[in-house]
Amino acid sequence: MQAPDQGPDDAAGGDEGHGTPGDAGGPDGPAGHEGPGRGDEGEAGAAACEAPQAAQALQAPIPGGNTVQGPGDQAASERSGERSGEAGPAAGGSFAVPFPSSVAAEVARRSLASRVQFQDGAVRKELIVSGNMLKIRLTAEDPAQLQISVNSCLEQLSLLVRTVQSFVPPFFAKPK
Amino acid sequence: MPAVLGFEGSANKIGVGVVRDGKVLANPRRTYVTPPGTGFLPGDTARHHRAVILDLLQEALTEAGLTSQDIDCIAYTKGPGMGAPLVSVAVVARTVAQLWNKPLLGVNHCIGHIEMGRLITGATNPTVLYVSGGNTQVIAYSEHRYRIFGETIDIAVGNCLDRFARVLKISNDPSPGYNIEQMAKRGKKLVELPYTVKGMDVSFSGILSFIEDVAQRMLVTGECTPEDLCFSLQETVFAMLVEITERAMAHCGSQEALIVGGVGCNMRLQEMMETMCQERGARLFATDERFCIDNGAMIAQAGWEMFRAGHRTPLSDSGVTQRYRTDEVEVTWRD
Repeated sequence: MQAPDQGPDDAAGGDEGHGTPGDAGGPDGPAGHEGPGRGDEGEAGAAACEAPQAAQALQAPIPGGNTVQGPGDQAASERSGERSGEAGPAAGGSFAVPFPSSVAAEVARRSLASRVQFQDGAVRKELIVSGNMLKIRLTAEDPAQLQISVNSCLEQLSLLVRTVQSFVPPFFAKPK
Repeated sequence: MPAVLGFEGSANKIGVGVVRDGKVLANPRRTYVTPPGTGFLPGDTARHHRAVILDLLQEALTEAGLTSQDIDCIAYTKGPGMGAPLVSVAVVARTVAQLWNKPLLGVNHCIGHIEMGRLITGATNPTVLYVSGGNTQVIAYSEHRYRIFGETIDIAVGNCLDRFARVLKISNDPSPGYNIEQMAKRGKKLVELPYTVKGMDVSFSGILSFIEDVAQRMLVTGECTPEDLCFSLQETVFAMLVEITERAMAHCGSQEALIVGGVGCNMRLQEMMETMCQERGARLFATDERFCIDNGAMIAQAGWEMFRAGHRTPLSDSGVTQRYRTDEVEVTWRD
């Protein structure tokens, strides 16, 4: 899914850029608009594991009553008639990340939150803190964009965890 | 005596700087360099930034001799730039701002360049030529805004140079523009290229298309060398920039010109601008590669000015944006 090496003044970008026509993202929406990262799920998962418990990927129904596929579940998408690019039921996924405390989870939520924009094909990201858990839910009409956004979210989460570990070590002290 | 920490990572350079009361206390930087013939993609660039930013942050604090408690404000590049790299840097800025309980400031990248240029050179009220891989603007300050008098209507001049470097497979280390400059010094023949100034604005995409085509034909036949093409491209695009800068200076009655942005490091451009300024009885100001090229200290400096003027960016509004015009910011820190 790697975007081709396009010229720098298009959506994949090359230089600083004024921002280019066709950049459907505006503010820090999901990286799906620029081209996918190669998925640092392993790194993100490992980083999250450094917190007391590992992140768990969940599938959950979303409003609208349609079955939600996780990213990459193309066969199921085809069976249910959902295809990338067609207006139809959204795809979504959610996962929950435990933190040592609700304060830590709230720091993470605020660091990862971005203004939610509703555009055709955009990915909607919801962050909810419940106790010491940060619950992240991503939904999109395009499963490919959803996959990109999940990768991006995990990469940002990994960076956030490393930042906290590097600059406030006591923050992640394991509970007794 | 506020000390401001600045994060910059809108393109392929990532920098973390510390500024306090007009002094740059630290300014480490890393550049994501891709193989010859290629550019840098947002996802890969963001991955590079994520891998080094925390080391850079520690390096900046150590070099400045400060701890988190000594920092008064966290500034970061809000835009313009590439989305994924901007987001990666913003995540770190937001996180440390919360961990250290410091106010956050989103800074316009272009204004960062201008404020650093003013600080380093001491220029009072110059006409600014901002030239880089992503931006080409002629700017002058008026009534609390940095007004854009002229700009590129398509690609930035640095983008034109960088993409031509790819055609010739010129190395991107340390930067394609630098290597084009060195090759241009050995050029002997001026190849005529389109000259596209449109009033106060400029256009480079047609020149790029033309020279890409010319390169294919003339290099094969031996009519010119790669050095000749580098020389010809520089002479043409830089002359265009000098023209629109002079036009803005005439309009504003300005006696100072300031070059900022990565392309501003180019000595030939500085030489041509100096000639124009001398003919007008004006002064030219320019910085060296420490501050011309994207760096964290310039964001810290702009953040310092904004912080003292009372600007703050709430966490809820601390996103990034790929499109952020220079004149969107109200410059309350200047009269």
